[in-house]
Amino acid sequence: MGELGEIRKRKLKELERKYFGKNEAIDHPIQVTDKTFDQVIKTHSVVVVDFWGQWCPPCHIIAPIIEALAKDYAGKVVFGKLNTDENQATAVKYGITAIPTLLFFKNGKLVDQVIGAVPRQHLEEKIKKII
Amino acid sequence: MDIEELLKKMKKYVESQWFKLNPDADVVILTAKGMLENEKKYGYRYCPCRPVTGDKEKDAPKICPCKQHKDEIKRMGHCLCGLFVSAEK
Repeated sequence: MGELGEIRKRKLKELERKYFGKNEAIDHPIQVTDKTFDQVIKTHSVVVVDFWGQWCPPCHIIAPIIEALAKDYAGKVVFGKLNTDENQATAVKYGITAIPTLLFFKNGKLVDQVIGAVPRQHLEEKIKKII
Repeated sequence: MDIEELLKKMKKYVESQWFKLNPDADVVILTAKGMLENEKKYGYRYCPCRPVTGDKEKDAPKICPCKQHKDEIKRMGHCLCGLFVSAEK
């Protein structure tokens, strides 16, 4: 590909990012806060947010599963982690009464949820239904 | 209250119950530390697996041992955090 082709490709990616929210594949869970939550669920077409807490044992059980899924579904699903100790507003807004809770968003809309440290297979079944 | 005192208190609590503390000490200590953090932050030892809203009335049932723990142990064999487990486990 010539220099012109490279420039065209780069510009096209910039435009996609700007107008369609398309991003490079994210292969790790991103940190989500009260401030960034709405932006994250609107920017990416499929987002799974893990509501967690530092002192919650089942949150630590599910954390490596979320990391592995983020890697395996990079480019298809973006995984976010929201610490409920530091981001009460979003937890209250979505009525989170127990953690870990995973909320599944498609095109900015809540489509599914899971409460508790469930097996990877259970999460994958839900992910496959929405991608 | 320090962690040793809290652990003693929890051991005493389960003595009169049909369930016990989780034999996995890591789970018990992490949960106890979370309760003490909540006590420092909010004044009450709320369950660290139940987000605090800041509304004292709404949050009152989340003080450990929480309102749901017995139902959860009956249903799942452990409470939400895994602090208490059924005697068979």
